[in-house]
Amino acid sequence: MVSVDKIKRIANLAKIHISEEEANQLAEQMSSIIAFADEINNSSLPVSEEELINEYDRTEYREDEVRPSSDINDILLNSGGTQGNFFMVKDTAKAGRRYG
Amino acid sequence: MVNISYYKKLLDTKALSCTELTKAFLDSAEKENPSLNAYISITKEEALKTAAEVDEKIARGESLQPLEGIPVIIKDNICTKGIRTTCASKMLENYVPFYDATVWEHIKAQNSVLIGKGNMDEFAMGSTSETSYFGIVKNPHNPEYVAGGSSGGVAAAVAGKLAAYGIGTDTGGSIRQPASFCGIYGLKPTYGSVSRYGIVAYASSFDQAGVLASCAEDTALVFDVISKYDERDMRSVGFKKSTYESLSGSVKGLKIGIATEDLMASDEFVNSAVENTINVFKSMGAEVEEIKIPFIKECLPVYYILACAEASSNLGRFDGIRYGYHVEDYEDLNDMISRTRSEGFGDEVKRRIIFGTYVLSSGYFDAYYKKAQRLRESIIKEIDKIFKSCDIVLAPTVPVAPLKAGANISPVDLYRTDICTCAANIVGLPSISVPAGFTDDNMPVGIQLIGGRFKEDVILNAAYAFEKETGGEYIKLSEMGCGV
Repeated sequence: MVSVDKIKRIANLAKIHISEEEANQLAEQMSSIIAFADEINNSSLPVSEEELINEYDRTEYREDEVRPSSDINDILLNSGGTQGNFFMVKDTAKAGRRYG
Repeated sequence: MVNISYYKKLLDTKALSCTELTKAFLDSAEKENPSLNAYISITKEEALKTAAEVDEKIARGESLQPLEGIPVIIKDNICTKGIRTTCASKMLENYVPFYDATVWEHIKAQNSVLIGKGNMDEFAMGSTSETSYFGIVKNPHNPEYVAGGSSGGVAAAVAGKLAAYGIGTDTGGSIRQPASFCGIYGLKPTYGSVSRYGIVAYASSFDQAGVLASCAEDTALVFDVISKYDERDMRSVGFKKSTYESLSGSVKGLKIGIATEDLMASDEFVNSAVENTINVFKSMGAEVEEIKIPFIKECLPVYYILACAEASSNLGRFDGIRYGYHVEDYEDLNDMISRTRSEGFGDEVKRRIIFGTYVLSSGYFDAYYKKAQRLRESIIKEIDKIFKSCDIVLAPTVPVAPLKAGANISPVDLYRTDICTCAANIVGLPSISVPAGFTDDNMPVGIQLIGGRFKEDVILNAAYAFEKETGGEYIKLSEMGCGV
């Protein structure tokens, strides 16, 4: 059984706020999910010494060159607030203030 | 058969204008969507604009491209410039991308008519399309049943004739499973065949865009359009030949492997569908041999450990700062991000992020993530051996018949329904779900044809041959004498 404290620590690492009630519920659910994950320990397969180093695992890099990018106005379209060519991020120093 | 060729003929012979065809699909979508919930957005204006352009082209006497004027639905995790792309999440409820995904660019370049964006499980995490922030997708065969997931909206729209074909994504079975539940064709291509650029990432080493269509011919036609090399996807390879042109309908001498012992389903109708399909292939001259996949059960935890680990990293970008949902009340930066993610994500997404964070965290990394990566390597090697002796592996798509909506199944029990599909994602193989019959409740059952890497032509041809042989008329499995 995964403890409620451990769930709170993991949720904090994942940057997800959870209530006491959610922590209790998640502890129960996560215990079953982890028991399910533990089934890898029953594997009949030899555990490869390599991690995904097969012949198909390849990454193509392209030339590192300057190319035309997206229009700044387009990029800022989904932002909650802008100033010139910049995102306006929320004021996190003063609680509750949205922008600026 | 009512398929893309049929609609093309209507347009080519001017029996119907593209605007008339589009209006017919839009009318059906608007009429049926309140009950099916297949679409998150219906793009009427965009559709009629494209249709008018196609009509002008027809009037000028120009010939049409393969998908020109054909109504399409695109899953809502595929970026469409200027058109809302939500991933069925509150987090992206009002997100409008400023660029197109490559797969949509290819469809758009064809002047295919976008009817709308398909409902889905939130961030493609689910098997029933019940985790959508926009509500459950219903199965067009019977609204008491789910459409499957995560590409449930696309599958329901194609099966319900609210679009001629659709584009979905498949990370652990998300194209094939809803295709099976809705009685249509669903192709998950080889990893690298279709660009992932512009698709909102869930688990990048598994994610693959593919096709949902009403027949094998349509599936091949659409696959040929979208499977091109893209330098913006570092793992893109593309696909060099035409699968459509290689549809011969002959499977004589094709070697089909079946894993009766390891891949038996828990549902008698599903087993009957597999048995009946084997008999059909044998009657067409295919050679069927028994194979062993004793490690198939390990594929599930390996898949979930790795997919959730990747999800916890990929979804880290949703912090409410630059775009997306954000909370108004908070204490500091950390609190703002944590509360935004808590309110913006649904329960299943949060569960997978937390599980993914757990397997990546100090003390658990070696026991889960690293071990799963090494087992993935072993699974790849073992499955590669299987394809040295056979061309195709035939298996159930889902071990159970379509599920009823609101069945209240535990997360782990739902994860277990991916047992037949996730191996293809672990290894990166192409796989297609083919309609293979109906249960006594008249719900569709699919079977799956898995091929070697970049052997889409082989599995599509086998699907085409099976469809031709059965006349596309899907049998009631209890009447086949195959064990039901």
